[in-house]
Amino acid sequence: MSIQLPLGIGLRDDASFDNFISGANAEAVSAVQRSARNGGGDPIIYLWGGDGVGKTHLLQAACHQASAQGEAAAYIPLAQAGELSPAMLEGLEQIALVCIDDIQAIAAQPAWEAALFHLYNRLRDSGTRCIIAGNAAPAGLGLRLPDLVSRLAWGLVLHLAALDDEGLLAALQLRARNRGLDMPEEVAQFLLRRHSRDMPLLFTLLDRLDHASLAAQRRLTIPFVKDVVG
Amino acid sequence: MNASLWQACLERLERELTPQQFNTWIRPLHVVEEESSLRLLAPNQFVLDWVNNRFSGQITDTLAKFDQGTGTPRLILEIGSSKTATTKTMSPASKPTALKKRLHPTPREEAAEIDHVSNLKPEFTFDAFVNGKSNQLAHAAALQVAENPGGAYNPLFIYGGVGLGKTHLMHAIGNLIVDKKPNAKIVYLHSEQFVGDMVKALQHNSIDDFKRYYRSVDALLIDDIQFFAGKDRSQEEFFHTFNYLMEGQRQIIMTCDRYPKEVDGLEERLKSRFGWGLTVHIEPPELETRVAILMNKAIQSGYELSREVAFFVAKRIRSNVRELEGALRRVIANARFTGEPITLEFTKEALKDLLAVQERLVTIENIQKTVAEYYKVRVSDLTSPRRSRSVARPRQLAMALAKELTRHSLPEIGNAFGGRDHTTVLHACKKVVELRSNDNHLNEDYSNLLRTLTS
Repeated sequence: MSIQLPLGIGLRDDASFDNFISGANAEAVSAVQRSARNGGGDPIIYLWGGDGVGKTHLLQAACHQASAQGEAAAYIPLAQAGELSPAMLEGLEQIALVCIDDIQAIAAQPAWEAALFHLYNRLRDSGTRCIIAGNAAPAGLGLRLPDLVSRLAWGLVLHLAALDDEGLLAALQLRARNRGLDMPEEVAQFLLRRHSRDMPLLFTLLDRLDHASLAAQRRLTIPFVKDVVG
Repeated sequence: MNASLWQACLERLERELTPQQFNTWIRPLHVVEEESSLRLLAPNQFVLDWVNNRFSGQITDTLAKFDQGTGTPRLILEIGSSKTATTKTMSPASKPTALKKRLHPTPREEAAEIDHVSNLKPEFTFDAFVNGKSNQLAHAAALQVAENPGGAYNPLFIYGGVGLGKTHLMHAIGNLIVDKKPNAKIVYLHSEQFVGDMVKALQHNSIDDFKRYYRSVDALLIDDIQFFAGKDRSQEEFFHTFNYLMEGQRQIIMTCDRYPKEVDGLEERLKSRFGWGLTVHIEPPELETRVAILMNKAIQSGYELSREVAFFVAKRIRSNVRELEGALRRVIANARFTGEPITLEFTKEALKDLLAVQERLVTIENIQKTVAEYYKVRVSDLTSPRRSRSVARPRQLAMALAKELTRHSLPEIGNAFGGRDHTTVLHACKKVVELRSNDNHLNEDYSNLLRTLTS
C-alpha cells in the first residue's frame, strides 16, 4: 500500500520547536522562538531560504507556541492566495502573533502587495509580533511595490540554510521516531543516498513508509524500504 | 460556561483539521465564554465568514456533545479581538462624538470637544534626523514649517523614494509644533487610514463627524499621498478638507513617492493645489550621511560602530535608510546572539547572505536592461557601435553604473558593451562624474537608476 499524501496534510501535524533540527540556523531559530514566546527582540522578522529549509515548520511552531501561552496567532498561507482575499489581512494587528508564509506567491499582485504594505504599517504601529517567510531576500522576491520591499528589509532579515547530511539524517530519524517508527541509521542513509536530500520529499517518503510498515506489519529494513519506494 | 468546553472544541478541531487550517482559521479566534454562549471573535469579516461556512458545524456539534444537561451554549461569531472584547474599536474620526448634544457649536468649541489622536511617534525628532546634502532642503523647509505652521510654506509637500526619511521629517515637524504649543491639535495619518476612516464613517452614518474631525485640526500630516490614486470619493473628501484647512491657515504636510504632477490617478485640481506651497525633494543619502546614520543608529541600540565598519556597510547598502537600518539590525542581532564584538570581519560574516544577494542582483546585464528601459532604447543599442547622442549617453551612464556597482574590471565592462576598449569605459566614467555636477536632470536620472538597481 502506498498512499501519497499531499504536503501539509498530516505531515506537519506536530511542527514544534522541539522537533526542529536547527543545523546552521541556530540564530534564526532562536530569534523566531523568542518572538513566539514574546521574549523581546525585533518585533518583525523576515525569514528566507529555499524550499524545504523549514520556514513553514518554524512559522507553524511559532503559532503553536503563542497559542500555548494563551495568545491568538494567525498563520497566513499566501501560497493559497488564490482562494483567499487581501481582506483577510484586516484587523490582524489585533492579534498577538502574525505569521505570513510564502510571500513570493503574491509578488506582482497589486491588491495583495498593497494590503501587505498597509498591514505591515499597522503591525509596526501596534507593536504586533510578525514573522514573514519567503523564498528569496526582500529585493529578490519580484515585488512591484518598493514600499513593501523596503519595509521587509527594515526588520530583522535572516537566512535559513539547508541542512547538511548529518542534519538531514537527524531530522529524518527524529520525524520517524515521533511517529513511533524506528528508522535505523542505515535506512535513513539509504534514503538520503538513493532518493532525495530534499526535506519535504523525504518526509513524503517517510509518510509512505509509515503507512506501508503499518499495513505490512514490518519493521523498516533496507529490503523492505526498497520494496516500498523502489 | 465551562472553560474546558472550548478546550474540547479545540482538541477536536486540531484533530480533524490540517495543521495549516487550524493555524490559519482557528488560532486567530479570540474566545469569550459567557453563561449560555460561546462568543468567537474573528479579526475580520473574511475569517468570520470562512469559519462560519466551514467549521461552525463541527464547533456546534462538539458543543452539543459536551452539553451536561444545562443546555447547549449558543455559538456567536463576531468581528473583534481580545483588545476589543469590551469596547468596539473605531478610530476617533469615525466614532460618533459627544458633539451631537450641541446643535450649533462654533468651530472653536467643536474643536475643543473632539479628542484628536496625533499618532505622532516621539522618537522621530529633528535631533534624531541625520542631516546631509541629500535632504538639506527638505530638512530646512521642515524646520521652517515647525517654527511657523500655517505660514508661507503651506502646504508642505515632501517627495522622494522609499525609506529616505519623509515620514521621519513629518513626525519631527508635528513633534516640534506640539513642543512649542502643547495644546496644538496635530493629526498624523497614512492616506490609507484616511480612506479607511471615511469608508467606516459612511457605513456608520457618521460622515459629518468624520469631516469635523479632520477640519478641526491645527496641522494635518498625511503620509504617502500616492495611495489616494484612483480613490475618487476619498479624493473628493480630501479636497474639501484641504480647502477648509487652507482657508483657516492651518498647516498641511504631505509626503509622496513622486512629484505631485506625476501621480497617476489623482485629480488635477488636487495636484495643482499640492503645489501651492513648497515642494521639496529628498534624495538617497550620500556615503558620508549613510555612515553618520549607521553610527547614530548603533548608539541608539547601545552599540558603538567603528568608522571602518560603518564605511564597509554604507558603501554596500546605498538604496535607502530602511535597508541600511535593516543591515545594522542584522549585525547587532548577530552580535547579541554570539556575544562577539562588532569587528570588520564579524560584520562581513553577519552580512554575507545579504551582500551575496545584492551582488547577484546587480550584474552588467541587469544594469544594461534597467538603463535601456529607463531611456526607452534597446539593450542591443547599448552594445552596438552606434554613437548617436540618444544611445551614447545612456551607454555612458550604464558603463559608469557597472563600474560603480559591480566588481568587474574596466576591460570586462568594455567587453560587455560590444567589445569596447577599457579607455572608453574610463572616459565614460569621468564624463558621467562631470555631467552629474552640472546637469541636474542627468544627475536625477543617475540617482533614480542607482536606486532602482540597488533596492
